Amino acid sequence: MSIPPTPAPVRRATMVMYGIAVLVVGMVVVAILTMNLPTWTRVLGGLERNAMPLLRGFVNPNWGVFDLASRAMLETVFMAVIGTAIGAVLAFPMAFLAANNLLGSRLLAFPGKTVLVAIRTFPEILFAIIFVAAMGPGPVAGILAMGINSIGFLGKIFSDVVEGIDSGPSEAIRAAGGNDLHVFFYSVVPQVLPEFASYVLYRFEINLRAASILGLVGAGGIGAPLIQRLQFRRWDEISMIMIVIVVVIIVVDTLSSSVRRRLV
Amino acid sequence: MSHIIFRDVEVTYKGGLKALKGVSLEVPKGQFVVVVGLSGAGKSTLIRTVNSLVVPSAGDVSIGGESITRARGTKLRRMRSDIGMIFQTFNLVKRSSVLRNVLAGRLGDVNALLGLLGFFPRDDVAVAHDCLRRVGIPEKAFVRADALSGGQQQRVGIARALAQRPSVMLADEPVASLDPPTSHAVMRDLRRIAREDGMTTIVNLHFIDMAREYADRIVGMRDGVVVYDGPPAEATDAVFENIYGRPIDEEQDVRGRA
Repeated sequence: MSIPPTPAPVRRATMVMYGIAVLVVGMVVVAILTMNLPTWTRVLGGLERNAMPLLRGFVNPNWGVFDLASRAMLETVFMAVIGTAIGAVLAFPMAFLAANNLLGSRLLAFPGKTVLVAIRTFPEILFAIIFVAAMGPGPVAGILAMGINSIGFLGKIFSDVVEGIDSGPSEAIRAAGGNDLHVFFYSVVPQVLPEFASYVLYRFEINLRAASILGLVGAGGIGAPLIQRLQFRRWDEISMIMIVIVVVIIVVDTLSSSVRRRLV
Repeated sequence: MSHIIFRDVEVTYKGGLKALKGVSLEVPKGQFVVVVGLSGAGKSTLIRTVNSLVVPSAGDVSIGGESITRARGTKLRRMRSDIGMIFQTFNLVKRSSVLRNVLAGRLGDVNALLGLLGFFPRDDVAVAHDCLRRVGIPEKAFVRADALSGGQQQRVGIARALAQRPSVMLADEPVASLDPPTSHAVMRDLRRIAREDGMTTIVNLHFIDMAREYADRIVGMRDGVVVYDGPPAEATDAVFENIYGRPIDEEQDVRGRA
């Protein structure tokens, strides 16, 4: 018995893989060596001074701010709901304008795709800062920031869903004498709607997390009381606020994913 | 006068593939025609020229004396609504209910937006239920299409085509995705309904035995031309060997015995 020689392309591919691995490890080493990292003694000293009060605060959440935190979290949830709704409603038409198969050519879908990519280039915190500057602090700025960001995200995913549909039912509608509108409403929309709904819920989960920190730049929600207390290092109150955030997000996520499982 | 007339129909696809090279056929009203031939012989193309899903590059197809090849816009859609079509892959909206899929056959009369929201005229809903009864699955109306077996899904496909109340029925490899016993059951239903309604029917099939069993007339195609046209009784093994361009033996998969 003999082992046949490994073909040259396979050998070359293996060498490239090893090369990439060495490169990655090398980059990590160079990064650690060149960055000005604190020494162990400084890290330990900092822990002694800061970590103990922080830990003490976190294990004793201050129930005095529970009401305030709950109200702020409710506002956060509403912001996420409205922001997601704006995104979903506007992403719906955008998705079809960015779908190759529906428009019949890549060229026609290009402008729509470009707009969606452009929107996704910016993180929502950037939109939030711009809107706070433009219209003053408050939840409206946060809602708009989330809404616009959601258009980019949902529009892209929606159009991928549209591009993945089965063309058979559309042919059947056309064969039965349907026009483009019939094809759209009888074949395209029923095929994509459950997945659209599922992604809207998923985006709502993302937006709820985003809305929780948008307050840091003054765009409403629970981030505002959080950053005030962070500046004064009121760890017991911060602890309470974070507990409220975590509990609400876990509950919403669980509900949302169980609904999503049933949708598709 | 013949119901469907193909006159020197030629189809050349983009890229130069000549799928039909001058086909002329006349199909009288109510005839059940089975078109046989290998994959790529032009069967699917031929059947799609009848409802102009494929537009001939030369020649003409007319139905009841009216050219569908030259029909455009509203006229084309009106003519299509009189032609039912059944597909190999059923082409149902899998996530919609069976009833909704069947109602798609009524769309000529239904406002598209209202239909999407689930509002259909009572008469159309009644027609849809009636069509499901005729294909033997009335109890499946509110089940999602993807929860059905292949044979049941094809019956939904037939019911959708029936809901158009068509005078012409086209079936493109209607049983190619089904197992042999189910194939025969579906073919029997299709022929029974075609007879009851006096529909002119064109069916594409791979299988020799099935063609012989169900057809009033067999049309054999090879490389885009008709190489046989006659009654099933005269379609001997020699004829099929000519259609398939190779000897038929028991080993090969063209008989489709149940």
